[in-house]
Amino acid sequence: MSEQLESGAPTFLDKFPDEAAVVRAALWSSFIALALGAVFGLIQALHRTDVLRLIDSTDYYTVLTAHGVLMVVSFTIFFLVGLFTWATVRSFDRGVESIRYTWTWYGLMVAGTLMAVVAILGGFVPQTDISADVLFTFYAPMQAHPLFYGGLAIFVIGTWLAGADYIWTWRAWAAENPDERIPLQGFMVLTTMLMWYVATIGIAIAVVAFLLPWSLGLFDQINPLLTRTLFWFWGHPVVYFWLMPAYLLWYTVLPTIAGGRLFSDPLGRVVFVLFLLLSTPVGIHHQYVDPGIAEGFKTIAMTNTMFLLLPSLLTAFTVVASVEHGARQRGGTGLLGWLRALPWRNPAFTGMMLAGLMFAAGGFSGMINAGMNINYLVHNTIWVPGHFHLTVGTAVALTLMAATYWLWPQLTNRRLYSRPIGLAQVVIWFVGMGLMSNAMHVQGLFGIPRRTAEPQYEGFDFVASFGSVSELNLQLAIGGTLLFISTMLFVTNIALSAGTPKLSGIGQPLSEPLSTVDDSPEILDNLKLWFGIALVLVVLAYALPLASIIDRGGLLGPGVDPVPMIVEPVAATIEPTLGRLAAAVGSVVP
Amino acid sequence: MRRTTQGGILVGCGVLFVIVWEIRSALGLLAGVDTNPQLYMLLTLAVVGLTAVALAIGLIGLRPEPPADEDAQ
Amino acid sequence: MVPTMSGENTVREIGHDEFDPKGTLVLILVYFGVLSVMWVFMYFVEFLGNDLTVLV
Repeated sequence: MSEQLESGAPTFLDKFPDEAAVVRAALWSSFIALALGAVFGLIQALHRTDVLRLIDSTDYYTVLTAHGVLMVVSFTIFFLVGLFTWATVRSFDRGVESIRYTWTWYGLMVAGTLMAVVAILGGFVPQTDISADVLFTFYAPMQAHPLFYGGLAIFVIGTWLAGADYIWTWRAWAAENPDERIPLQGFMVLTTMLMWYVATIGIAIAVVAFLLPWSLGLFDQINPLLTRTLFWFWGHPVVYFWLMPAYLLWYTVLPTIAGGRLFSDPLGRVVFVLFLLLSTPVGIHHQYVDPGIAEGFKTIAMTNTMFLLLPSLLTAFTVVASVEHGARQRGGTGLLGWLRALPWRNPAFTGMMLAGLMFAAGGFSGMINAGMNINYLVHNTIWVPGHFHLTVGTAVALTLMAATYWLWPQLTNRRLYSRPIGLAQVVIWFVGMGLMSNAMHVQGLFGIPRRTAEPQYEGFDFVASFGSVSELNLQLAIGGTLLFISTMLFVTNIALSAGTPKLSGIGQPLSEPLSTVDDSPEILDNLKLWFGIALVLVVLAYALPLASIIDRGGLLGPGVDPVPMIVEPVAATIEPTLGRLAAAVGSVVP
Repeated sequence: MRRTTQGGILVGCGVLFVIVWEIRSALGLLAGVDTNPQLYMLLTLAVVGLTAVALAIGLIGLRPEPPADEDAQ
Repeated sequence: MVPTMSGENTVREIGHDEFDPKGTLVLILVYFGVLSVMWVFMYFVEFLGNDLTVLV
């Protein structure tokens, strides 16, 4: 088989060995986070469905926080910086300006992650007062240990420096090639990082100006609605920060794997510009039920959100058309018969296609979430985790895993340990998510809440309009178990690939688009212009809501005491209080 | 007639299983038809299993497109 | 069996002008059909299936 793999072309590792080492390190950080996150995911799935309760229910939030942060911050973003470093170096065809600088931002991201993870896992150790059971959203007045906020800040600074690294490479390249258009992958990386700079304004202010000093004891109280709103200022664009690496792979790698060429380079650029413009001024749609924000502002956020469907629908068209082109080049015919000619045995291809299929379903539940009046019916139910396990949990996660099957040999000069296991892995993920996400959506329609260790109550039963709640629980648990198995297969497959023999000349150049950049107006590449418009749109969307929140509650809030998310000290304060109460009651009642 | 590849059977049956199983939720939520879960699961597995077997022995399946050989990494 | 740049199993090269993505059109129309049906379905599940939500 190895002869068949050798195209004679050099791999990324052959051309840029130093950069390949950084990419591998970032990807490994990502996979470690994925494996740990999967363990916590399995514990949760079995716990809340009451199939197997390994932990105490009071520790559920430690598990939930660890699952959320490891998956959607560490797994996705480490993969992103690895992939973007690869894409930048590959598409500008030049190494980074300073490899020491590149290792520096990677090191900062690792340090930040370790700090946050130590703070979270401290929740399992009652002897320490370190804990951060504040979930991924860390809403005040729930308070985490300063280590958590500090780690988060350092992690984000690391990503800023990574963005600067890509811009640095671009500027150096542009100085030597003043008349050339930005290559497509480079363009996607740059627009995504610009979006990230806009988005992280919110989280940086929330964490550095309010939450960190507050958890250090410098402030007694903060304005919970303000930090929440700043969180969602970042919290919605971050979902596109997860999604853009997947889009980059769908646009630039998937067509090649399918045997074809990207349908249109200009369309790809338009999509990424639209995401830069529209990702941020929509965050309030996560706060439809928050009191203290006027309905009018929520309606504006809803309208902006509906516009955001446009780039995703454009992507659906472009990507499917590129795959169809590949199928027809491979000899496929007919209106739908071409689907047969696609390389379904290739785990990289099949994984990305199944991810795209699930994303189409997630798009629909996303439209339900985005509609203000319909949202009230599913808000804070387990429907919402059902939705985002289709989007970030499959469209993104499965694409990243599938793409690794293609990318890893380019970074290591070794072929994959097993392609059949890879294929089984992506199919198991698809089936597992089909079961788990379906059960979550249906349970959500019956009103079963999310973020609950024991979603069962005395004197009240959820009514299933068909089947039974216990059947749905079982379905959720089986789905979660399959997802765990799939993750372990993936990580093991990649780890074992280190033992396969070194090959040479297995490089896989990417195909050129059908409609090239020359067909697009040059204004698309004017990144300063788009960045400026993005900032204006953010000011328009957020100035008035933030002003009214601060006007009503003040910068430091209307007086809510912090609730440190530590089990032991809370119990220690409650018990004496109860004791005094009992004594008082005892003295009154003879 | 050439048989469907094992990879094709695996992927196809995975997707078929999810689709058939989701139909149960649709029936329950929309039409209010409460199908028996055990029976439905057995039927789903039977449909998927029979499809897999039929594909494997070449009873059903589409004539393969050239080139059947797989691409490399 | 040497993989080439445009895909190792290419039978014929199809350029920009010869390519007419009809299959894509069909798939997208199917998706829109599904979305429309789901939207109607949503009305039954979300509204007729639940009591009135009172907003004050």
